[in-house]
Amino acid sequence: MKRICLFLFFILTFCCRLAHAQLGEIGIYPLDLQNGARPLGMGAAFSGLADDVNCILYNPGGMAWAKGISLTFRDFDNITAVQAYPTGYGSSLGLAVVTSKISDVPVTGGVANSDSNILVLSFGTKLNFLPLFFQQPALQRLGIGLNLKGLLTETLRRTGQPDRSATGWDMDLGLLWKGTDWWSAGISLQNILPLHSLAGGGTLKWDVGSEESFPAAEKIGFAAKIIGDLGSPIYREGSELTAGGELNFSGLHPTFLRLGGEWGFDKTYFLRAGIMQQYKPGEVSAALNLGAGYRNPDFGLDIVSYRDPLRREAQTYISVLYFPKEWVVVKKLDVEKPAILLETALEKISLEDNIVTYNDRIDVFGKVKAGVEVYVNGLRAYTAEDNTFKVVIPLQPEKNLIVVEARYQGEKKIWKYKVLRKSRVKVAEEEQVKQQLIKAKVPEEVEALKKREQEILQRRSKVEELVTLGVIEVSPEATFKLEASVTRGEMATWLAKATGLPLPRVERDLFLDVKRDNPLAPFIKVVVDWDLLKPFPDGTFRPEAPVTKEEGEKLFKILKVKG
Amino acid sequence: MKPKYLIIPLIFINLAVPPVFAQKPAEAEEYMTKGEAVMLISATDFMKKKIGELLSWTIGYDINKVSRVRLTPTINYVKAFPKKVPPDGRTVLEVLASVDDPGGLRNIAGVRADLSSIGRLSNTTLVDNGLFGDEKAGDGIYTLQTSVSPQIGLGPKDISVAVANKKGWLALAKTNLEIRKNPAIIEIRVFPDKVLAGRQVTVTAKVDNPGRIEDVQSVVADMRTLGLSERSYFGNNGLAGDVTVGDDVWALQFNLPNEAAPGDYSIPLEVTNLAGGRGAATMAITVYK
Repeated sequence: MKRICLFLFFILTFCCRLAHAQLGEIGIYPLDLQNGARPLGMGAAFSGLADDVNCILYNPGGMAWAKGISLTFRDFDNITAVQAYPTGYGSSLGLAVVTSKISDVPVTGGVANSDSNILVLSFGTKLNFLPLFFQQPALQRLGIGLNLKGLLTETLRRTGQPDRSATGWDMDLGLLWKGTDWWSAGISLQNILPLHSLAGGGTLKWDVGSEESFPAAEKIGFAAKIIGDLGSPIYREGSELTAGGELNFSGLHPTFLRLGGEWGFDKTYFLRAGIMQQYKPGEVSAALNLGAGYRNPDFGLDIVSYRDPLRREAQTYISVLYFPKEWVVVKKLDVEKPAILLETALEKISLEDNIVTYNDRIDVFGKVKAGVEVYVNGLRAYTAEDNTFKVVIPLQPEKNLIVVEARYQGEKKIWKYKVLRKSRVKVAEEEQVKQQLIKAKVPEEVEALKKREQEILQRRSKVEELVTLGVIEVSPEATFKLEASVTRGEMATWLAKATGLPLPRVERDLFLDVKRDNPLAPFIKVVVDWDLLKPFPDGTFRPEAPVTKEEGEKLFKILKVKG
Repeated sequence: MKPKYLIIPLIFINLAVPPVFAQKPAEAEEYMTKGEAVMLISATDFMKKKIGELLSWTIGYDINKVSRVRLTPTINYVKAFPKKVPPDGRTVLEVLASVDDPGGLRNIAGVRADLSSIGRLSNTTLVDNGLFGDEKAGDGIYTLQTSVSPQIGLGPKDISVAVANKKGWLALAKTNLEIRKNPAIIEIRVFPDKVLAGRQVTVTAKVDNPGRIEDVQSVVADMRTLGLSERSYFGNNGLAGDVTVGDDVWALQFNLPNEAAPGDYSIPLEVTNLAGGRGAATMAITVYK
């Protein structure tokens, strides 16, 4: 039965296209809403992405996640205002007002002008209120949306013909499936009502009595964040590439292909390009749209250069966006259903970005809103009754990335924190100088000791860097003596590790005093092979012997270091 | 040679050879110190690059830098026993969770179960102290004893168990059980296979009771069609054809009347339990001449 209903629905949708006439013969489709500088910058291949408030115009399925306001204008006669208000429970209400004026469209015997005013009411939801959808994480990624589009006025003026006006309304249905964090797909069925359905729906009524249908269109789109943050196929910090494609089916024209991409830097600056196939009666054209955008946490600005197919002229659209964080229809929901605003789900956290520490572990603690699940580095943290959490993360030497996720009802928000774990090294001379400073009384002596202390601290910092990078090995309990002479064996090891040269397999004794099973043998072989240190004429290497100043000077001269 | 002639050569010698106390230690003069070596190695181009990358906040912080060390506790299994429980508020339901932790069992902070699906607290503690139904203390098997609230509807229910360790990590697992009130007779056997009038007959009925088998109240057969009692009670006491006391098989032994006519008989059986549930089945007996 369901299949039969679906079949009939599609048949009706396709049939209603055939009745379209008056406006269609000029190439004007008032309810075919393609607007917004960002979507246009991506070649209008937006039905599979639908990740901002402009989704109302392209795929109402995206409304389940939408929030904010967008104001797009080309001039004073072409303004589009779109708004989405989250209601909580994975739903949003949307409203769009579109005023459009198309002038001097060449037609047989003169020109045509069209003015239209359109009101769109939209609702998108993840159907969280249904237990089946609430319990299945996979279904939490599905958004479904419905538009009611009212053509409040449509005025058509043609040379040599009386002015005519019309009104009407129709509906859109959209689905958006966010398969993973990096790809999504969508279907948008636009103007789905057959002629004369649902109290005049799907019908454009002219003042002179004639009627026509709104041409239906079906869009199937796909979008992928190929390069981006954690979870994208190619990880690249600070930049992201999103690509989208769309097939647009309609009985009026051949199938369109639209392709677009967006390259973002620091989630702040964006460049966009897209190839957009369009239709005017008797002709399919393709144009390259170019756009740019700017985002900050509250505002955004987009601009696009777009080619109008009817007049074949370039037009520029500018969109101003506003993303209020605490904007919900019912404020009370913020407390009861924290997921509606995942940006604020993490109320407190102990971490800050760019932490330098000597510790081999770090405590991560904080507080989330009620019901929010916390994951740290992909592992679930225990959340106490007061919604606090505290976990201990081990830190590896060098760089660590800590990923904190707040999850709620299939949605998640990620925060990343960078932690550099340096190796702490105790330096013998530092303690000596401190003791001397305590005893010193003569100002000159104190001054000299302070200078000496600074030098030691500087050297200690360098030692710590080399230990962190694994060039030097110093156990946490050991004390490093800066003034001790460095042995040839130590120097060989440090140099081999510092240069990163591959360690050879030692299969026979190297020198009289360096047998093949000597742990230093591979390092010594490297430095000898590269002529950094030379063996003695008596056939020994003397790894325990100190490096002389002369040897050192020659060595670092080879390495192009000035002493 | 007069002493005055010695003065000039001595002056030259003194000028040419510096006094011993003015010399620096030989070791410090001749050998490179570790501090110097570190500074020089750090000054090489390749180390400058590596150190620059180490200290950079924009290079190298990628997905590989996220620790993948196993920190969460492990739940080996979660069991609910019995799997079928009546909603009577008295049948003991045991929930067992076998847990482990990378830091050892001492690192387990607590194990809790969400019993809201069976009408109990959503945050009930399981114990591993050898008490309250727990068999052995400290074996990593945490236990909870509860019952199903009479207000709970019939059907399958999930019980989720969460284990947290002292480092703040959590693991979740769940088990399921069926809330059922009515017992069922799942198998009926008649001995001997060939039933003859005037001979002894033994009938066994295997019962599936939600909850404990002890809570089966009665298993009764209506034997009127065979000329016997309307309510013939099966027993589970090891007597009269019953093999094992207290198992899930009930038995009824009777002598078929001599006047029982040959033919097929359908004997209705009924099982009832203390939860007020009842189940029915039909036993087919063919009497031979």
